[in-house]
Amino acid sequence: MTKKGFPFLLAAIMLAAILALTSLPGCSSKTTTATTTTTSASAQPIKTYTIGLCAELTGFLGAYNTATVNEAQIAVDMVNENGGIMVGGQNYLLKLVVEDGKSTLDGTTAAANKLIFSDNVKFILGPDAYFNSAVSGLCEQNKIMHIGGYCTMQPGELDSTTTYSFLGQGASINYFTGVLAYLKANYPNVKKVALTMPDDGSIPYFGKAVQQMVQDAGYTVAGSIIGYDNNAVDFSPYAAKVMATQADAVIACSGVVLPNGSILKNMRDAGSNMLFVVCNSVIPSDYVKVAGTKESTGVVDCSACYIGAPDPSPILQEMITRYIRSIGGTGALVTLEYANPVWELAQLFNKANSFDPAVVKTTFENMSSIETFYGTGTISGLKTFGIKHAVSYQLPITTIDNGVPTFKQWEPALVP
Amino acid sequence: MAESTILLIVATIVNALVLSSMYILLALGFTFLFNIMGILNFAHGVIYMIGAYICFYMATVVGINQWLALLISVAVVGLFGIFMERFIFRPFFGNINSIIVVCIGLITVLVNAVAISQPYNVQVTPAFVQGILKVGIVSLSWQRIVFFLIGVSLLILVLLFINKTKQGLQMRAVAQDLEGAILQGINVHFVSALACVIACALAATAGSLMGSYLSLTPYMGNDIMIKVLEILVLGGIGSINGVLFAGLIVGTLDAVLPIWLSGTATQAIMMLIIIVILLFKPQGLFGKEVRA
Repeated sequence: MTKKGFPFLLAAIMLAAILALTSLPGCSSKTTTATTTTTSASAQPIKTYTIGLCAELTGFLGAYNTATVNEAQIAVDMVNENGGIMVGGQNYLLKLVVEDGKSTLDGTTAAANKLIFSDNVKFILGPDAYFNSAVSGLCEQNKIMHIGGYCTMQPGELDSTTTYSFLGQGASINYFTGVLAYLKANYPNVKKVALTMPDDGSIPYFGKAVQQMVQDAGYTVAGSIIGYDNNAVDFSPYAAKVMATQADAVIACSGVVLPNGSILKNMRDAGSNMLFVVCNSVIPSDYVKVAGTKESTGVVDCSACYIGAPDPSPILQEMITRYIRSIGGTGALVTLEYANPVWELAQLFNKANSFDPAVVKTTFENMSSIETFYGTGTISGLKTFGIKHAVSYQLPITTIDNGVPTFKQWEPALVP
Repeated sequence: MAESTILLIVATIVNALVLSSMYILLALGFTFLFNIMGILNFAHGVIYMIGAYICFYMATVVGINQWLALLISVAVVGLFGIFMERFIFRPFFGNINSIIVVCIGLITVLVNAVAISQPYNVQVTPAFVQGILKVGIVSLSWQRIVFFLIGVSLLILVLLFINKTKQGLQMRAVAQDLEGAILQGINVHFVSALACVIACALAATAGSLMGSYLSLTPYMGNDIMIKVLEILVLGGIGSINGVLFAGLIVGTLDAVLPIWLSGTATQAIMMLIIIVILLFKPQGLFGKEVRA
C-alpha cells in the first residue's frame, strides 16, 4: 500500500466503525416515541412507535442478556411482519430502543432514566434479575408502563405500590411453581427437601415465599434455606451443607448456572445421589458443561429454556426458526424474558387502542389471559405479589441423566 | 454425634485441605517472583486461568488423557514464563508503575481472548480420578484426596529445590542481595527466568486441577487472585513460611465459614478476621518489620 493510500484506508475503517457502532442496540440516536416514514413502494405513510428495553448488555448478565435482547428484536420483527399494531385506526410498526443497565442497580437506574427522559418512551420492558427495583419506582413516578422480564420478589420490584409495573414472564416463582407440581406428581418418595438460592437479598422475600409453598405442598423443609455467595471460589461447602441435611431432594430455587452446576458437581463427586431439582432461566444442557457428563444425573429442571418439546406453539416455532437463522446454534437458548413482554405489549396496544400508559395498564388489569410464546398465559399474582400483575404460563420440564437432557412434559405453572 | 454433623465435618476438612494446597501453590509462585525479581505479578491469576484452559482444551478437544494434558499445560505455561521474564518483566525491571500497567494489559488481552474464543462461559475439565472412597457413612471423592496429595508433594518439592539445590541457593542469594549475587557471578537473568518458569508452572498445575475440581471461566483468575493477595498480606509479603501458614488459614476459612454463615457474609467475615490479625501483626504473620 502506498503512503497516500493509507489515510484513505484509515478514514474508511473509522467510518465503517462509526456506522457499525451506531447500529448497535443501545447506541441508537435519540428518537421520538412516534415517527413517520414513507415507503417508496406504497407511498403510504407508515408510522413507527418506539418502546424501550432496559437490558443488561454488559456486566455479569451481558452474555445472557445479549441473547435475550436478540430474542426481543425477533419478537418485534414478528409483530411488524404480521402487520404491526393498530391504534386509533392507524397502523404502526414497533421500534425497540435498548439501553444498557450494565448489570448494576446504578446502571439500570441510569438506563431507565435515559429511556424515559432522553428517548421519551412511555413503555419500558425489562430488566432482568433483581434490577426491577431500579425501574419500577421510576415508572411509577412518571406514569410509564413497565413490563419486567424477571422478578426476585424484593421490595420495590413488583408489589401493591408498583401499579404501573407488570411481570410479563413468570420468572423464578413461575418456574418454582412448575417444578413443585412436577415433583409432587412424579416423585412420591420425596418427603423432605432442602432449598438453596443465592444470598443476593432475595432470601427474606422469595425464600420466604418458596418455603411456604413447599410446606403447603406437604413437604418438610430440611433446615433453613442454604444461601450461597454468587462470587464464591468454591461451592463445595454449600454442597456439603446440602448433603448434611440428608433430604430426599434439593431444590435450587433460583441462581445462575455456575453455582447451581458447581453444587451439583460437588454433591455427585462426594457420592451423593440426592435428587437435584433446579428452576431458573438456564439451558438444561449448560448444567452438563459445568457439572460434567457423569455428574449431571438425577436432575429435574424447570425453566423457560425450550429444548425441543414435540409440540411448540406456531409462534414459538417461528421464534426458534428465526433465532437459529439469526445467530446459529441449536435453538436451545430461547428464554424469552424480553420477547414475551414485547409480544404481550403488542396485544395490549391493539386491545387498548391507545398509547396512553394509564389506558393500556387498565386494559391489562382487566384481562384474565394473554397470548405468550409458551401458549396462553394467565394473569395472576395477587397472592404472591399483592397485585394481579404477573403473567404465568406452562413451562417445559426437562430431566438430565448421564449428561443427556430429555424433555418430559409441559407443566401448567400458575403463580397464585 | 449426629450422622449429618460427621458428614459435614469430614467434608469440610477435606475441602479445607484441598483448597489450602491449591491456594498455597499459586501464592508460592507469586512470592517467588516478588522475592527474586521484586515484581508484583498481578497477572498471575490469568496465568492460572490459561493453564486451566490449555489442560481443558487438550483433554476435551484434542482428547488426550487428562494427566498428559496437565503436563502439556505445565510445559506450555512454563515456557510462557520465559517469554514473560524476557519480554514483559525484564524491560521494566525496577519500574513498578510500568509493571502494573503491563500486568493489567496482559490480563485484559488474555481474559478477553479466552472469553471471545470460548463458546460457553462456564465449562469443566473431566475428572482426573474417578471413584469415591467410602468409609462407614462417610464418602469422599478420590479426586480430592489425590489433588491434596499432589499439592503437598509439589510444595515439598519446591521447598527442597529452594533449600537443597544450587539453583535454589542462587535464587535465595538474588532474593537477599541482588548486587551481591551479581558480584558472585550468579546469572541473574537465568535465575529470574527460572523463577518465572516455576511460578507459571505452579499456576498452571493449580489451574489445571482446579478446572476439574471447580470449573473454568475466563474470569476464574480474578477471584483466585484476591485469595492470593489475602494470603500474601496475611502471611507477610515475601515470606514462604507465611504463604504456607496463611494459605492454610485462608483455605480453611473458605471451607468453614460458608458452613456457619450465610453466603455473602462469608467474604466480609473473612476480611474482618484478616484485618484483626493485621492489626496485631501489621507486617503479616511471618513478615519482617521494616523501620523507616
